[in-house]
Amino acid sequence: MRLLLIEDDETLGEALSGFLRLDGHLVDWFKRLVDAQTMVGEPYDALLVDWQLPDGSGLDWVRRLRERGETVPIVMITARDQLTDRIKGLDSGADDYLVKPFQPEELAARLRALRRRAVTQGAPRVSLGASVELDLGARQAYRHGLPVELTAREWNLLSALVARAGRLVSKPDLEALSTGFEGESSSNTLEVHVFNLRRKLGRDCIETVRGMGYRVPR
Amino acid sequence: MNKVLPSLQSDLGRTLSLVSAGWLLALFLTLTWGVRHEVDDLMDDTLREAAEVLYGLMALRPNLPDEALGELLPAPPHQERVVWQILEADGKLVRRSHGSPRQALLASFKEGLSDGADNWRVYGMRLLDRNRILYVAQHGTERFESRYESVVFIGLCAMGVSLVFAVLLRRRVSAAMAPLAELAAQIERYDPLRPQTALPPATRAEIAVVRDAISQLGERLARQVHQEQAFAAHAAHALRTPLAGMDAQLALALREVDEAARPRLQRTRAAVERLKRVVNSLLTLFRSSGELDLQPVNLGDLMRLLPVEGLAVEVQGSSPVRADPNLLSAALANLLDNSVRHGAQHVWIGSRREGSVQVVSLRDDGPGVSEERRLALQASLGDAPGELAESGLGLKLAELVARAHAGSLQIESGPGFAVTLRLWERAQADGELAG
Repeated sequence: MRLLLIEDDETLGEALSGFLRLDGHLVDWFKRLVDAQTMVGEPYDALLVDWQLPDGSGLDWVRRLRERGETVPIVMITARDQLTDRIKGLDSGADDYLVKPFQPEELAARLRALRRRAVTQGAPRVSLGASVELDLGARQAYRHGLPVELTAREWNLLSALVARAGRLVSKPDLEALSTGFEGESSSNTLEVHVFNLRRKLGRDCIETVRGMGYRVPR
Repeated sequence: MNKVLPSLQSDLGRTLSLVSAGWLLALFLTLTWGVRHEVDDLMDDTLREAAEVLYGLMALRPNLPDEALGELLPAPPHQERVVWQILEADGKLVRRSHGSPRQALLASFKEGLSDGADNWRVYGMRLLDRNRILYVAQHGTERFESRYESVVFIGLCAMGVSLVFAVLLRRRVSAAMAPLAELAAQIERYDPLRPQTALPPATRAEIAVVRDAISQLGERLARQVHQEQAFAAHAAHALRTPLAGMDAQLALALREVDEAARPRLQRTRAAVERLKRVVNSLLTLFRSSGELDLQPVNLGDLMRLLPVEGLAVEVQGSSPVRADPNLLSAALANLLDNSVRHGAQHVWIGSRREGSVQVVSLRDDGPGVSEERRLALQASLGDAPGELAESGLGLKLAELVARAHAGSLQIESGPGFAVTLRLWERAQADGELAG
């Protein structure tokens, strides 16, 4: 998943970014809202937002995003643990609410649950065509019931497409979703990865829309 | 045992009753004296007026007719209340009324009012021919009855009036005290943190003083609670975020380092986990400020949320406990940490009811403490100041949780280390009212 993390605490932000990256996610970490704001519009799979930030309230920022029609899943990560705070957080538009101090494993599990809800309405596996299945929790692909080894980049690319199954994903968006905004990439690299995925999972698993991008069947 | 306090209303009622009784007695004595005096005067006037009437009649007929008629004149039968006699100057009875004695009412003539023999009150008057005397008299018994009936009648009237006034005054006292009862009910509903429960304006000057004092006290408390809540929010942020950072750094490091370094990091992470529990417990306890979120808590479910590495926890025959789940889990988590730190590998937890008391007991298979040490630890709990070093934060925290539930923590004798938390029924009632 490509994640936007807004957390002002250096220790926590650095550790969370590192942990989630090791978990296979692409994480863009910002300490201030004003910096994160520049990334709004980028294709993210989820936003992780602290409530109390140096330059404003993460809660208000989330509310404004929702008012603008942004539908990306949002997880509030905050030290505010009171019931009224949780209600406020969820009512502002957050999809989940995690109280500090939490264990990063729990955050990772919640992100997997978010992805499952988005892609498979909660089921642990999703089918891609007749022969391919993806276990999103285990980050494992199967073809004809047999496990298929995918690289981290290939998995990110495939899961980004699966999360938007049936919709066209442009090449720049797909690059961002699979590499992050700091990632070194080029169209050719992307095409190489798509080629490899087709080789491993079958030609029909990813459809090319010429000159525009890629799509996987719903 | 509750001491019954004296009641203002009863005091006022008793005072009014005593005043009414005293007033009634004074009224009765005054009336008795006054009525006796006035009735006597009235009856004396009656004797005089009767004598004057007879005198007038005798003046019209100075010679008594028909001596043969004898002493008594013919008259229909009746009860005479006033009698009369006409005597010669030498004391010989010439005429008398039916009720009059045959002897002269006075041994020697005396003009005007005087007391005669045999309790007669007599009015004497010399007739026109100067040789005859007229006595008009009334017997003492008759006069006493008249006085007695007058006094009794007026006394009964006074008593009736007094009783009516006593009842009215008691009612008035009750009505005057009613605003106090209303104020008490308003104070019971008053929650300084909820403006909608603010005390309404007072309807009596005396009540206004109390009402204002309580409102001001409530405002001060609300300000203090708001300040504490603000402080707690800041403290929570200041404590929780670094803790989350430490844990995340350790979780990351555990993935990055080689196998040999992992146990050390895992121990460090476990310590951070314990620290998180203590911080959470302290924040929860600090925030609760006596306001508990009482719910039925299943100890089995609760213990599944509190895994402690290296410790097997067995929940035995537990009945649901009505408690604040956050506080109870904080207390148990700290007690479990204590057990682990002291080398226990197995902990048994159970709950039961003893009348209106809920008892949560915990025992481990650790080395326990000596009886002397147990007594010292127990003594360091409760209100003993400055003894935290003796019992440690974990045990003290568990005891504070028990006290927040209007209960207590008892350190039991071995084997192992054992504590009993007693959570009293009163906490339930308070919680339901608050809730």
